[in-house]
Amino acid sequence: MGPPPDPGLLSLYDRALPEVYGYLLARCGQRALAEDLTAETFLAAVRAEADGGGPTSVGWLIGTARHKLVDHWRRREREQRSLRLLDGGADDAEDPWDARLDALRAQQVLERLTPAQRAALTLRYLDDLPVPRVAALLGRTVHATEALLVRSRIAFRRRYEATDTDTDTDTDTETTEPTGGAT
Amino acid sequence: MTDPERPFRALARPVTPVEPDPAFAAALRDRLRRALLSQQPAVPARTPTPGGRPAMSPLIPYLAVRDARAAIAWYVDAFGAREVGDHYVMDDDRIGHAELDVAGATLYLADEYPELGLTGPEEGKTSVSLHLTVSDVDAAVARAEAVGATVTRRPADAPYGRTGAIVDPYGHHWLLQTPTRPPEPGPRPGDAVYLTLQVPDGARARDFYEAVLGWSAAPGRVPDGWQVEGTTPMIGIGGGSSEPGTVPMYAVDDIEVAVAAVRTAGGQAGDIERQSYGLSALCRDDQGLPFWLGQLA
Repeated sequence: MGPPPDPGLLSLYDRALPEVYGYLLARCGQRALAEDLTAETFLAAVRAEADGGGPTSVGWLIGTARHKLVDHWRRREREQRSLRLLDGGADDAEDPWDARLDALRAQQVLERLTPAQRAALTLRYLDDLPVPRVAALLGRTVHATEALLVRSRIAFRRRYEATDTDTDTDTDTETTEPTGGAT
Repeated sequence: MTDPERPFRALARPVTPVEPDPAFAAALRDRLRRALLSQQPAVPARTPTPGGRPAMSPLIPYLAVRDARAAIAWYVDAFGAREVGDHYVMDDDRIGHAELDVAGATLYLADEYPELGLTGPEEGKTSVSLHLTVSDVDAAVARAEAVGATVTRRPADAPYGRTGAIVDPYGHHWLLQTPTRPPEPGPRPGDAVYLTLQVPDGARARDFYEAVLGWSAAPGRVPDGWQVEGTTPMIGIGGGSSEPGTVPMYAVDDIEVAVAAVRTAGGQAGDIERQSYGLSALCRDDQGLPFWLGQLA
């Protein structure tokens, strides 16, 4: 004679689902992946409630979704590491860049970066987190994270400017930085 | 100004809600509901909970039923079921979850969710039977038939109990059974079946344990002997012993074999005595600890 399911979490689900899904979709850009990570996020909430945490606010869910996204990028990074030559290998010196970014094109460029670069830029700029938070989420030191951000910005800029002259982005087959067949 | 980050700051994106695919939303909701249900504390069946309600079974049938509302009413009518709590109604008015108490057992049911692969039985085809124990199978089958069930097997005696079978109006197959009363399980060899508290003053021990453990005891067959009521194993108090101690009685199949084994193992065994409950022998193990052997009739 079990009590019915806790209506608290289910009603939170009804309320928070579009926010969690919207957060993930805007950052990973793939519907199926956003759905998987959304499911992982809510199942984590079930477990957290069972463990007596009683977390379950929209903020908690977004924070958990962010962790799930980072975990996903970390898995991708591990998968691709053996295929990649070097993480950028670029000169760390950055020129000032005065571009005005187009959001849609920026998203397409992000999807072509390595998982680590994508994670760093997404957390730092889309989520607007300070560098120490980004470092904590990525499990890197602040110094290493700053270096990663520099390399990521350079890689982003290179690809962004490459798409500038190439209106048909599907033919963008730039190979200066192999990404393990992701492109 | 040289600020390499400046263009990137424009990427900041607040959380913008996006409605996911409704089928995904419904499927995940169902998955969460099941995850929540599965996390109810698992307690052994048949252990009464403090409130006197039976504990939740670790396995509960969860039916997909076309027209769940009508089915709930039918189970109430046919089996005397009782709805526990309020059922969940989804946005599309389908029942997402309902709980019934059927003869003390729990049954979950919900409307069909074909988009999740959850449909009721097809006409004449079902893969799961619901086996319900009832006190009077003939009456139960007659009642179900009267309110619209199809009887597929009239009640008949079988070694395991009198059994009938019906298909309810929603296509679910039920086996109804009044079980043959099983023989009372006796103690197994080696079980402690009786404890004797040997004390100088039996009445005083009775008062002590009444106060401490809530025992109640009736006078026994010997002077200052007391029989404690309702404990497992049974307990007796014997007064007049110079040395306090508790002597257990262990059940054996064959007391002569057991007495011989005690002696072979280096213990001591007294004579086998006939008692009202069977045969007994007072023994000591090879370190001197006393115990009874009992071959229960």
